[in-house]
Amino acid sequence: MPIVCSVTLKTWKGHPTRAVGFLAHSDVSFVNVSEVFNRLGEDVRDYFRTSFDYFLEDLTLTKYPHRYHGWKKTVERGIYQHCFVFKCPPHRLYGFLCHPKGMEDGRFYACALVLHAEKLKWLTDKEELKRVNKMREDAEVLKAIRWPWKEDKKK
Amino acid sequence: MRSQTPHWTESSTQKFAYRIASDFVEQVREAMKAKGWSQNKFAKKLKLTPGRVSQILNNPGNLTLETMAAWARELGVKVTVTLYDDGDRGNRRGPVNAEVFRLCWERAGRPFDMWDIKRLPQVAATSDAVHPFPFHFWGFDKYRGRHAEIASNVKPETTDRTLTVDNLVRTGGEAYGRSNTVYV
Repeated sequence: MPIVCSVTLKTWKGHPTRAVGFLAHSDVSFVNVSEVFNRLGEDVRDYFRTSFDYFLEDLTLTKYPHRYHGWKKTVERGIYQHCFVFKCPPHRLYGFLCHPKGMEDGRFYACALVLHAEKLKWLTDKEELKRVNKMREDAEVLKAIRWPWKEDKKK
Repeated sequence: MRSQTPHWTESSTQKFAYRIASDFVEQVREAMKAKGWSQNKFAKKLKLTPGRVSQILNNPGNLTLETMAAWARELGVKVTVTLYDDGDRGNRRGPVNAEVFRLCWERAGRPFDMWDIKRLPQVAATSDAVHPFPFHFWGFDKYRGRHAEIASNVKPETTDRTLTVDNLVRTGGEAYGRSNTVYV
């Protein structure tokens, strides 16, 4: 059976509490993060890679708001509270926060990046966040997110 | 089994330099914020255009040591470069953030020299524990005069003003392992 959905880790796999990964989904055209990231300029990619490093180190995820941020529960009744964005103007990488190790390790969470967009206005395009939320609830996606660590267990 | 994939900074010296220069500019941003300075104000003090400052903050890859020193002094702080060995020979984790060094130094009571270090409990050097007591309250200022005397007799070994972070990583990395910057 062909693999429909997969996650590629972009950060050190051995980190005890955090990870950043790129989602790929053969059935959903807007899941374009891997494809677009490889086409970005080297400087932009290094900026994002540095931001991923900081994401791993940042205890509260509030230290570098110019590089990344989430959305508060109070915004739009909390429907975007799991969404997350990495920024390098005008580029944006949208994704969501999740617990890929489930109940086993609740303090471990990852940011699964879903799509790239160029933002030219100040306000976030809600359409991007709605797409991210749609992916967050997809059964194939949930399975794929757990995969990198499940493989470790088998070994 | 853990993945042996190296960190992205392992692919070239430029990338390693980019990452540690990023740590430096993030500390600059913090220091500007603490002073309530905008990028425009900082640019004016440095006699640079706001565009140039913004360009360096967003793409710090070619930052020179001289620029770093100038920016630090303009902000009223200092900067240093240090080598360390974190045991990660294959560079799977990337460089230790400069903020980690700064915070450890502050928590150790901001030791100024080897005399201050000598007075630190050994535990700080042999474990992850950081001493919670503020050593700067314990009268270390009495050595300040001696520092000035020693410093006045020291002649710089190099006047290479073209030394860049990139060169430093290349040479230092080969000789000792790792390099990083800390502003103090």
